[in-house]
Amino acid sequence: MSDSKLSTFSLAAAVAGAVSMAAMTIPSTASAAGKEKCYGVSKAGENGCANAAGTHSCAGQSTAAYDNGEWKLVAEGSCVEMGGLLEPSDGINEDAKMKAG
Amino acid sequence: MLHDLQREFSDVALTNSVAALLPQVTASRGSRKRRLGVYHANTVNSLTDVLSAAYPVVQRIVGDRFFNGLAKEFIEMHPPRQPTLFRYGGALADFLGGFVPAKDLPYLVDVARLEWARIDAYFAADRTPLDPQRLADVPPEQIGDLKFIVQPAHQLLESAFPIFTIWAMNQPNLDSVPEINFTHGECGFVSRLDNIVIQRALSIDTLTWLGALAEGKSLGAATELAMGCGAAFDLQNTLRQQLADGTFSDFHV
Repeated sequence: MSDSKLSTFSLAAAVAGAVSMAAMTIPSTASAAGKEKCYGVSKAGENGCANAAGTHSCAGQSTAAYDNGEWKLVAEGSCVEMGGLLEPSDGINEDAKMKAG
Repeated sequence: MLHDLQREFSDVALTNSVAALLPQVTASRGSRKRRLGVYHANTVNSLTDVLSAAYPVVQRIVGDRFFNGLAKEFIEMHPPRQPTLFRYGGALADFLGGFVPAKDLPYLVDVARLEWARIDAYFAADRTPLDPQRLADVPPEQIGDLKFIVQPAHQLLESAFPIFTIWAMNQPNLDSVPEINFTHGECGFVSRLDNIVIQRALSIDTLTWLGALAEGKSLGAATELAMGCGAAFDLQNTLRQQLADGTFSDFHV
């Protein structure tokens, strides 16, 4: 280290401090070793076969895919609660205005 | 011959293009087209469920019907390229960037990026977190030249929108949603610790520090860059937090 802004001493002191504090908080490798991960299986257990939707052909549930006519191109989830309809220019987000009001 | 048949069936399953296969289908009752359509419906529904599992926050933000609609278009434009579903859907953020109906929700793209980073972190290779005690053995004069190896699961994210707050506000079992200030951005990281995906928002100096370390810069050089960000960079606390989060797997001097 040749730069004057940061002395070897201050760096070493900060690292030593972090190490001593980390000694109390570091997760033990033993706790990690107790769990095992199953590769090739999707996050919530959705692989091709186990998928609930994959059983449709047996259960005979769904015979038509989502119909474009069934849904409107309007987000209607939590964006409204969050006041998050960010119309670029012309639109006025009354809900967000009221919340801010 | 068999290859052609499989290709035609694949077209049916993915895009409901039944013309080629239709003459080869026999049906004792019901419309042949309708019977073939079942395969398309099942395929789209399965893939939509995969996307729904990967992007729960995007789904919650736009609502189920909108999500199903965008999933349908995404699946048409980005059919699966490999026979495993657990890596399906990574292109959704880029897709959303060009999806006109979502243009009123500009933060959606980065929220999708965050959700996919969580999938990446979940499936990244395992490395045992660095034991902090090993740092105690480094001679003080070598500390500045020390280079950390960052976990494969560790990813930095930067957004012009408060994506970590938006994500947190869209978890199940939250009673009320406080007002979110959409005018300021957030940066942070996603990683995995003890097989659990973790994420934290970071200050810009810590982001700079971690980014420099991930690029292979020395601890001294990264710390100087972080201090140059203006804010008072606290190396001791930042390092302690990152050690506790298992950010590093190793180091060399």
